[in-house]
Amino acid sequence: MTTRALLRSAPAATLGLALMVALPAVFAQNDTNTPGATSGGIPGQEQHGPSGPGAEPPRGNVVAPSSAPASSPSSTTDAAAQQPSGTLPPPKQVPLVPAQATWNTFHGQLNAQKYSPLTQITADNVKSLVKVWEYHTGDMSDGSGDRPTSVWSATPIFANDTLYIGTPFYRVIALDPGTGKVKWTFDSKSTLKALTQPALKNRGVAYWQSPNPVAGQPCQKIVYLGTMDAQLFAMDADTGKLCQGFANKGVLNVDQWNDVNNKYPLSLLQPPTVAGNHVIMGWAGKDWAYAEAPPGTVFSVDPQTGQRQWSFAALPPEIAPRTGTANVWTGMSVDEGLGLVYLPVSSPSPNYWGGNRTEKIPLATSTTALNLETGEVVWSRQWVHHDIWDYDINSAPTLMDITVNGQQIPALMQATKMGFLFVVDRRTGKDVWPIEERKVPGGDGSIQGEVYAPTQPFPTKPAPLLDQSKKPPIWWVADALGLGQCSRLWKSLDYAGMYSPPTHNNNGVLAYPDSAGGVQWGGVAFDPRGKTAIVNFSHVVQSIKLYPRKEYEQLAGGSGNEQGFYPQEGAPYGMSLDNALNWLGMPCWAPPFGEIAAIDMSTGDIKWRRPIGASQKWGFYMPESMGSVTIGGPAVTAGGVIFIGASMDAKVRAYALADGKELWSDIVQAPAVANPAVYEYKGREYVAFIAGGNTILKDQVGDQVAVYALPK
Amino acid sequence: MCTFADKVCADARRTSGGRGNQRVERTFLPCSFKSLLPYRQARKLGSIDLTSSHSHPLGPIMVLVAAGAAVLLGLYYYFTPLTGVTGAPGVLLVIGSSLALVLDAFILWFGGRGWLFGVFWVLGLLGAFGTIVAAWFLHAWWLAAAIVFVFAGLIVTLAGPSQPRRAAA
Repeated sequence: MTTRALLRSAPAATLGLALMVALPAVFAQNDTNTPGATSGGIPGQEQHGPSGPGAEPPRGNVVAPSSAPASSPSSTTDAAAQQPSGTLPPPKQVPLVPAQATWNTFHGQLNAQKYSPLTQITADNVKSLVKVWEYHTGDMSDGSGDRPTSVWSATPIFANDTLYIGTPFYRVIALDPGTGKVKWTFDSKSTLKALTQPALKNRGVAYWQSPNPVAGQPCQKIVYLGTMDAQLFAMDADTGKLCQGFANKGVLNVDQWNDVNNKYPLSLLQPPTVAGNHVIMGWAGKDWAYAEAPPGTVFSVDPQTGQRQWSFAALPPEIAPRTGTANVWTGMSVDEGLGLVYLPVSSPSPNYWGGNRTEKIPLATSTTALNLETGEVVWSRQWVHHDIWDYDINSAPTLMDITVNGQQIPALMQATKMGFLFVVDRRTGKDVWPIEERKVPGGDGSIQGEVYAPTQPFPTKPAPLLDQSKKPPIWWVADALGLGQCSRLWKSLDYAGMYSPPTHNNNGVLAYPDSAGGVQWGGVAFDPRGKTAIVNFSHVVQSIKLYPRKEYEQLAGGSGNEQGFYPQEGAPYGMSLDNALNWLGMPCWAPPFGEIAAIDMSTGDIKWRRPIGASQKWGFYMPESMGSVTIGGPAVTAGGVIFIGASMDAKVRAYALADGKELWSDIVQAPAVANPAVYEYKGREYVAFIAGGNTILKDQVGDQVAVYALPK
Repeated sequence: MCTFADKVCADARRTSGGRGNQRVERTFLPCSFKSLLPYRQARKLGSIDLTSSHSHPLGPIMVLVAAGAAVLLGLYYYFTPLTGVTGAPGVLLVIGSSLALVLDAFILWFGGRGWLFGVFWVLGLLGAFGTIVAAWFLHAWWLAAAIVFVFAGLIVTLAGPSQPRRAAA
């Protein structure tokens, strides 16, 4: 009897299963294969034991009544920093892995596996892959004019025999999946100003279709597009015409619910997560700008009417006015069988100083499981206590059924910026492999009002993707060409392990991995047949320094994109964030700068890892053995192939799932900074990449949809 | 239209026959190029002493053609979409260095065999080396191949016999 079959039987069986799963977790704690056990924390200090049962109820929070504004229509459950109930909804007969090839969400499937069961393209024939069509949207900007730079991190979605894409100019284009011929376009005519993020960003669109379509009626299939100015557009998937029955003639003003610390609009850059009868939205804000910011509420609305169904807030209402965010700005995952939606929750504001939020905020920087129907918190695991490093949980957790020590476990893997991969039972949030609370460095006294978490959670398996226990080695080439510049920088930066807090002393603190390092929003792919997880990640070093307000005002010039000076307005400290580079712009830390790895999810061991892509500056490629910083993520197929862009060199590649060997590559217009889509149309398997670029990687923008298949 | 080439050849013959020496005024450009210029315009280009020996043209021509090809390839890499280095500043660098090699080829051809030849031969070698390294890191393989021919041309220039410039008696 499978675990999933047990789940379907009855709630009582579910409770029983929770106990059963706790046992292998206990057994797993005795597993001595813990290569990462000494990584992180304070080197040489006694480590604390496992944190026990794992998912802890929040402390210091008050359950509050709904904070929904009066204008919210027919809201049912408006939750604010709820206590986890631990109660699973009644299970449904919905398999975790769709029976047929599906790529109709940002991560391919609601389970975020980015897995295709298609087998036409294999490791043996992928070298024959050719570009069968490409499409240029025209929606890109290099920032040279009045229009901000475009950053396009969308995954195309395949649904309704159509390939739907959203653009950074907030248009939707419906394409023929076999030819790239335009079926229809929709222009939201949204403002093209960087109201929150420093660039015009878009991560695509979402799709819903009625389980009981009414013949002859429009909007039985709907495509959703969010905009920088917090408008959600709903349009008929067949025609591109706005759905008149949705909110205000097809447009939902989500900013109507922006009623606390309304400093900026709730930018809908990430497409909503659509599951069952719910369109669930997080939002993105303005990083590092304000101490007090809108609290990170997540909204669920009705797919056809736009009426608010429930909301969730990670911040307790009594704390929210003096902080903010703890929002969900990236994708979510859903187990429709369990009836849970999993939220990767970001850190509260301001990002690098926490003196305004000294209380515990257990739902911040967490993975939080909500009842899909009600929005109630079922369980939550906080991955960074009192986050003062901007370690937002930035990708949808990947749901997977695995067998560990002979026990079948419905698990999820949460990738993080820290390079940790946390694996827990997705019904309860409890450890699959032990997650230990370890002592971490405290402050040096230079920052007033700050409190520091004495411990942080450290997974013992899989091993950390990066060694964050000590300063990364210096790249001698950069140091030599910089005439010792890197060595001097390293000496001037504090670092006693990853959780070394920001400081005012010297040149600040070394951040490794930094907020742009580790794993980004592409998340983890999973091959359910071989129980193999695939993840790409970056090695990036930055320096962070806090400046008392007066000093900051004197020093701060303009801010760059994702680095430079940032005010943290309202906090007593502004901050600076800089990449650790020499005067030539070369990284001071030793390569590889980015890698891709495969993990055996039965043992938690890494099967293989290798550098990914090539770094590129002014057009010059560095050797591929050095790898590239990566943004974007993989897709994996039953044909034994991993497809991924993600690298600085604007190439898309195929790797062998078995051993990581590079099998194929092609040049695209700009780095492909999202997951590719894999779909079948009229008997032919296609792989689609969006090459839009991201200024975090380099100043190269694109508007290309590149689609590949085997020759006929 | 009277071209500079017609004029200078006639002048050279006149000067040689009339004064019995071998000093003639000539422009920096070869005849084939001279013929493209009107006389007055080309005359402004200056003069060089031709008493020194003159390089055999094979080597410089190889450098010229290969460097010219490198310029064209660089332009292709820079302007053509999806070369991987489209619009990249590094490509402008190799276009510039390839243009410098074109100039170098002319100097090696017509600059005589004196110290100027040595200086520009070494500069050409260094320029070609830098360009091929840059092309390699740009993954501009065709451009790197063109620079291999520049190297070959430089070697031929050095190894080939000098061609003394003698005015007609």
